[in-house]
Amino acid sequence: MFSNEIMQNFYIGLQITLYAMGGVFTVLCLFYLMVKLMVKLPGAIHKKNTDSE
Amino acid sequence: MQELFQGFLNFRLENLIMFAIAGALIYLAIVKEYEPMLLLPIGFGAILANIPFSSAIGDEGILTVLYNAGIKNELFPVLIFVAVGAMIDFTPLLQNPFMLFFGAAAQFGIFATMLAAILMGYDLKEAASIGIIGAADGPTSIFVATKFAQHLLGPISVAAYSYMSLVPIIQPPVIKLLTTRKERLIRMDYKQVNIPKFVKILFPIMVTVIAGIVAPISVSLVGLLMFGNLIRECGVLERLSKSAQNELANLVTLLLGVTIGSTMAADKFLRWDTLLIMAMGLVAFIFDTAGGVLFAKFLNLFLKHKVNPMVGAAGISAFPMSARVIQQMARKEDPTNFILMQSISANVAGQLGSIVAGGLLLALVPVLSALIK
Repeated sequence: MFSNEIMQNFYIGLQITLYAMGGVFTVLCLFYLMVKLMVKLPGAIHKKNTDSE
Repeated sequence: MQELFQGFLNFRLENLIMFAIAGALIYLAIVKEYEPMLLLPIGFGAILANIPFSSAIGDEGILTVLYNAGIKNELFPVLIFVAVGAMIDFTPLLQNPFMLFFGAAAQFGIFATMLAAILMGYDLKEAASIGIIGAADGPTSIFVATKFAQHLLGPISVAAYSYMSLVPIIQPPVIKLLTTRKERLIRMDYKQVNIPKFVKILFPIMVTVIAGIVAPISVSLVGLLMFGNLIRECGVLERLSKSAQNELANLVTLLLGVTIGSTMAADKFLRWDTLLIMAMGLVAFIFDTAGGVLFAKFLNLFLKHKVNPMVGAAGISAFPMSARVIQQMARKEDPTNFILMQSISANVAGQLGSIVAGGLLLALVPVLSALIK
């Protein structure tokens, strides 16, 4: 149904998808850990009211 | 004598069709107020580019000069990032860092669309440029398309900005299709915490360093966005921050729009490709929304305090439109449910996620496509 070239591109596209989605999650996970670490520094956060309702 | 009438003599049906398309963009901008700052200059740029023998285009035309000086070398999109960075307040995200993950999940549409474009016969670079419409972020789309497929810049920009303004129409049916009413009624606690200034200052610097080390090619994207944010948060550059948010943003947006419009010459725009790209742009936004919602539902399998899956859909970059849409949907189901802050956090995370995704595409596509050769 699809030519060899298209299937080859699709295979590479799948690899890009896996690496890039993995990369986005990894980078944002690093951001998450970084924020968690920064707000855990002594005296970094002063909790206020904890409910919006 | 003939030269006096060359405009009339060379006016073709294609020019008329392009005028109609430009008119539609201007109509959407003025009457419907869909992204007027971009769609109006794009529409008018398209008129300038489609007048036969227009002196605005061609080798020495002013729009060609602007194109070479601002788009071809990626200057305009990068300057827009400085302005956008100065406008973004990351505080809601710093208060709810967990929402960062939705900013990653809602980038799924980029890659789903890229794969669809490959199956339609586009090469990897063209497919990546089409997929990046799913970043729901105009400057990122323009930046990636300029690097990979300049010939598709016109339709990609129009699709990116059009669909961004159509988020209130595109997202609700997809969300409703993928969630039950019970899920849409889920309430989420919101912890309001004060984020100290040093965290807000450190955040843009650290984000630049981390993203830059992972994908050095993304430095001009992430770095300039975070530079703008640092100017905003440092507290000692208020004048520069205001200039970036107002003068810089307005001036570059104006030039960017009219220059992109100039790439919409009939011979380049009136193609089957343009329709396909517009259709795939819609697919990208649908898959982005689905990616965010399904990821939230997946997380709910493990979480003690459930997340309203609609918040996942706010992980796209269209800020603050998407967050508002989610809050409106939540209030429609239950007028006392308030998930705006969580949606805004996810929406801000989407802005980061889209830029990181764009940077990773810029890094990965050339490397992996070289494997084919």
